[in-house]
Amino acid sequence: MSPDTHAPLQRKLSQLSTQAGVSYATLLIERSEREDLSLKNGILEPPALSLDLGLQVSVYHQGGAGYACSGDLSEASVTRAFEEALAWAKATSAQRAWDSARAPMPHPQGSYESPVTRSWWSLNPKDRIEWLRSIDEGAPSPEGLVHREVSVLADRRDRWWYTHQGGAVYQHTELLSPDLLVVASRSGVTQRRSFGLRGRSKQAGLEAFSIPELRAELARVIDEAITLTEAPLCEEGVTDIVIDPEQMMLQLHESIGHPLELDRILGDERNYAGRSFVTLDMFGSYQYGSPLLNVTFDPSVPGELASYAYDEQGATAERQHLIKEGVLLRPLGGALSEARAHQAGHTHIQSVACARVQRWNRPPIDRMANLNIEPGDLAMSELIGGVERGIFMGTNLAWSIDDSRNKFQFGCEYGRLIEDGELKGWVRSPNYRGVSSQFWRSLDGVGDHSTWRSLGTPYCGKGEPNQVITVGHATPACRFRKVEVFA
Amino acid sequence: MSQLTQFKRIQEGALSLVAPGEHLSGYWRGEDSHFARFTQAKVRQSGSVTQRELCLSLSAEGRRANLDVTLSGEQSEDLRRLEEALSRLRAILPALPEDPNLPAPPPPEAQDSVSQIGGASQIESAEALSALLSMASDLDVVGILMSGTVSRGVFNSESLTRWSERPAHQVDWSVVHSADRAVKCSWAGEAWDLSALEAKMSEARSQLEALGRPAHTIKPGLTRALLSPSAVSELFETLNVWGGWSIQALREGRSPLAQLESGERSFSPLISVLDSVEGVAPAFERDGHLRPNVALIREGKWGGALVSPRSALTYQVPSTGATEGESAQTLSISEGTLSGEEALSGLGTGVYVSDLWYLNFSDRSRACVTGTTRFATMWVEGGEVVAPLSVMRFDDCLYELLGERLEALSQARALQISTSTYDRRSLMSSLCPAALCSGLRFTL
Repeated sequence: MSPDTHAPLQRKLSQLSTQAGVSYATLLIERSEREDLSLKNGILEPPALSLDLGLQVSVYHQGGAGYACSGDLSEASVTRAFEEALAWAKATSAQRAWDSARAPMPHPQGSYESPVTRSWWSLNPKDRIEWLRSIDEGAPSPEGLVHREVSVLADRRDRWWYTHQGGAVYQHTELLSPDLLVVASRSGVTQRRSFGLRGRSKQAGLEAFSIPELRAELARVIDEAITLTEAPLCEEGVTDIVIDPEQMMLQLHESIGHPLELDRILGDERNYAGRSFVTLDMFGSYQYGSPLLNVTFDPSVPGELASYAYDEQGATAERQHLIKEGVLLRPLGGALSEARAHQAGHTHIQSVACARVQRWNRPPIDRMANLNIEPGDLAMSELIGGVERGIFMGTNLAWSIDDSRNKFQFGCEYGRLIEDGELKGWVRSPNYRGVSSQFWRSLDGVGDHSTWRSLGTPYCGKGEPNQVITVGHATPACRFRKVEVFA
Repeated sequence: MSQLTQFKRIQEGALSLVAPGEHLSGYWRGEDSHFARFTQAKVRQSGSVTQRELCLSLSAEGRRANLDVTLSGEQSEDLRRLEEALSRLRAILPALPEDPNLPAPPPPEAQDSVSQIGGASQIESAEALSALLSMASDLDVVGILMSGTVSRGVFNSESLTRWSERPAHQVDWSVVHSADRAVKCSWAGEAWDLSALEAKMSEARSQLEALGRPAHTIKPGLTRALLSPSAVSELFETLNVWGGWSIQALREGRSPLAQLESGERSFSPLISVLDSVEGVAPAFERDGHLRPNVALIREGKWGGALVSPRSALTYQVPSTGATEGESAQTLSISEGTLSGEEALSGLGTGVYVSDLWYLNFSDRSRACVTGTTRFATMWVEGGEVVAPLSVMRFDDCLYELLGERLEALSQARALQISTSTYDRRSLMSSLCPAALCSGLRFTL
């Protein structure tokens, strides 16, 4: 589908907007394709594919706003959607929570493409299945291994975003996500190892993943799952912990990412995803964590899962520090949320380009995108070397946090004892809990670039109506003091 | 054009494209929805979504592939999309190995099972929204209104047809006192009933005074608790969505109810659980197999697993017509004997848990669940509500909480229709009583 195909739809949007005298109108058109292949214990599940097309028209009028979405990409559909969106804007104008007449109305022009050298989609179906099978073939099958699953999720997506006065943005993304899950069960103890929430997802092609490395990883997680069935339970107590990036990803996501979402802070999510312990007056001065903590919103990391050039309200995406040397600077809020905060008198709030949609059928809301912890200066040996007695934990297994994003509890797939600055034996079912506002101040070691990994997950949920979206999290390993751990 | 008419046209179009030796089935998911989210009794976002999806499954020579395609509702365009979809499926089928677990299609049957035509226009939805917000103009209300018609249908090339369509209007909202203190409300119906919404709003308003009292804080440890039907539903839904009753999850070592299945652990004999066909979900899965009532727990003991037609072949057990994910569509928990009047007095001194939040497993194999309290969770003394409880985290083994520590279930049960709208509006629901427990293990 070339952009030329949309010229009549763009003209229709402009024409309808002029006729109705609306302040601002946008048209999002999306086409996407997805493939999910899975081998369970060597047997291929029926492949699951999808082809998705749809559009969304959004209208600002008389201070109100409305949207309408349809799977029909015809001119008649644009007209119907425009009329419905306009009707919503008119119907709700008198009871609006914000004034669309004072909202940003950008008309950007530009484009973005994922950095892909060898696209998944360049393979024919047979070769795609073979690619997956080559990871699984010859996998060890020790006694006690009850489940082995090797899968790949691929998604390619074209989004065109137009405004009624000539704004035009085209963005093409390709996601590739190989995943492993193994379960071992011996003597009544069941343990699993995986990549954790599809943590290896990237905006990339096949060049980002090596078959020999994935085979080696499969053999490693099988061995670790078996080892864990014989490991003792993690001891209970208050101790020092070192967390690997596959768990740091979730720690960052739940206890920094979500609490910094500006729409939560403004109260939009109080009925569903929750509120935040962070308040508007904290930005610019609040000590969120120790001075070692540096968190960026960075859509420019090549290959990270949620990279893009523009958000779905037309804002240009740029790297920004949200937390610098532990001090809270900016929320995760788009230009509209920034305008709402300013309308409420909080003019010190500065936005980032994070108003995003899951698909054409949901309106933009504030989301994480690439939310990263910047590397520090300690090698892994130094992080561990600084612990007399503690636990090294890795790969998220379970997560839970209260609706203010404060009291959290995480479970990890594995743990290793740290004794006298060295990694020792395995422990199973390590969990830890804490309070966000205190936990990050106990950060006393940040790994250097050699410990830093670019990870991400396609499964961040939020919003009413609900939306699940991709997020990227690049983070080093980190060390925290005096944390409550248990099994 | 109605969704049923569109479905029949798609069925006709799709079946005209089937080649000899191929088996095709199509699972339809349609909705004409209006969504309006509000905060501080004002409209945050409002809009309409017209959505038609067809999940195609093409089988030939012992191989099968699935493809979900979004439809436009326009006949010639949809025929083009169907052709493209089938072309993709035909390209991949020869690359597949023969599938040893390919289920046979259900026997031919034409059944327009449920079709309740109704829905709501954009104007009706906007009027309901305006009326709702006017009722609450002096309150801080936040939430979402959803309305419109939702449909599911299935057809296959062996002449099977099933259809289910219903108007579905819902409001899910919180009346906020301050910060994290709020009364959670929900209403669902097939036609707008503003008097029912007004009654819910008044009831919530009457609870705000107690939420304004100074918060009570408790120490970690076991505390007597009365779990509302909503809280009980959260616990069972956590078991459900993480594969508690899924035969596949059980065999893959992922089910949190493995110890119940093996007989190592049990719940209280007061607990019986059914996956019921009485809810709002259609009584068929994506291939058209009918979904009967399935007893999941019988008086505290394992009742049975949910088995999809594919798993039936994989594990050589009878199918229960379960959906692909093998989760219960309508969890129905048995009622007890505790009357409404006896509930708080039965609790005496302890915590009334109105809502639980963000449940996950701290130890899946032992059904240990963690989460936090939320909304109007209250401290109760001598059977009287005293103060809101500061948010507490709990971490408990469900075999104990709903086993030896379960004292009673309420006579009354509450029907809760899912408000989930990930990708599309959910049709899952639950019917749950309140639960009086001698202790809930709080940790932080």
